[in-house]
Amino acid sequence: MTLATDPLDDHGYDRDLAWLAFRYVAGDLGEAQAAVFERRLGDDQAAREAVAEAVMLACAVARAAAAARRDQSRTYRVVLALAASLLLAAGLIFSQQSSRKGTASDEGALALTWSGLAQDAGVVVDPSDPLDDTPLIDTPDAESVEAPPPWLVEAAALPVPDAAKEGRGS
Amino acid sequence: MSDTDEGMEVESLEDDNRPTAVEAVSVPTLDPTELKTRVETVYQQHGDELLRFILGVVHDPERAKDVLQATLAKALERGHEAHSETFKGWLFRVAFHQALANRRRVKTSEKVVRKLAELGRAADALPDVSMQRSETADAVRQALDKLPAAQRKVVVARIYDDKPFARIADESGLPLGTVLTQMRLALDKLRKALRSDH
Repeated sequence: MTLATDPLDDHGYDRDLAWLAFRYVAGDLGEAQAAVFERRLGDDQAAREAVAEAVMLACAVARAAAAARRDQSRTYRVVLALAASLLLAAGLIFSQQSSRKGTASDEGALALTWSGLAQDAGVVVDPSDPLDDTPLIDTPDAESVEAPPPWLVEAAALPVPDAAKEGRGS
Repeated sequence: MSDTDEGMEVESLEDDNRPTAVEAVSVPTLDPTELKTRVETVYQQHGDELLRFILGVVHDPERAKDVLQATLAKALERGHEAHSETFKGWLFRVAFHQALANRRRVKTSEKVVRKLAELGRAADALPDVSMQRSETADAVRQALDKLPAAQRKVVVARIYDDKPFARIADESGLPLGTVLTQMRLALDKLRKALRSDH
């Protein structure tokens, strides 16, 4: 990377002067250098115009960079909002599925337990039968066995998950 | 171009109120109306540039406005002393001396704003004079986008983030000379974009 040796650019503009003016505007010149340049500003219109141009350039770049950062920040915000929405949606879906799964597995476990208990106790559960006076228990001491609550009956009627069946079988 | 080459005197930078050679020279008296028209014409043509120049010296929008006002008042008061063909240079020189005087007054009481990014905001704080047309800003932005990434980084870090070159060199792991060269090259390109837009 090299700088052009000719101090004048294609338009006859003094590159060295432009650089000096920029450094003056940027506050990059030491006190002595700044004083020398200010003496020059006292009688060199080209130097004054170079300062005006350096200010214009600095302002334009600052604005362009600010706009670019704003755009970048806006993009980040949109992406972030999108990601947050997706995350929320995924969370909701997952929680619903998990809730369904949880209910099903809870109900399955309950049914399994109840079925096991019922079988052990000789209880016949038929959810299609109305829960009326029909005795559910045909054992001699049927009266002493409390009928399961309806929700438990419903739960017991649910199909037993395969894994649970296997568990039971083992 | 030098004012002295055009026959304009050089005022002392140290004493702004000292009578100048031009004050002692008898000059053709200009009709006040004609002078006002001349000042207005020059201001319309170069007002933006003049304000940017003042801003480059004082680094403060409020003070820049004060200096501009004082400069125009001086132009109306003593503008007849300048030749019409060098009136722009004369006006800039008056502005420069006004700016230096203002800076000397303020420097003792408050800190001079030196940040380049603040200069950009300062320009926005001058609604009276349009500092830049939006096309100019677009041209610079496009030129900025077209810069090689390394140059763009240096420009943004120096002007927008207001990092000193030494820190930029430190952070990027490049020699200071390389960073300065990148900045110079980038400024050349940006200036060309700015000029081609004008």
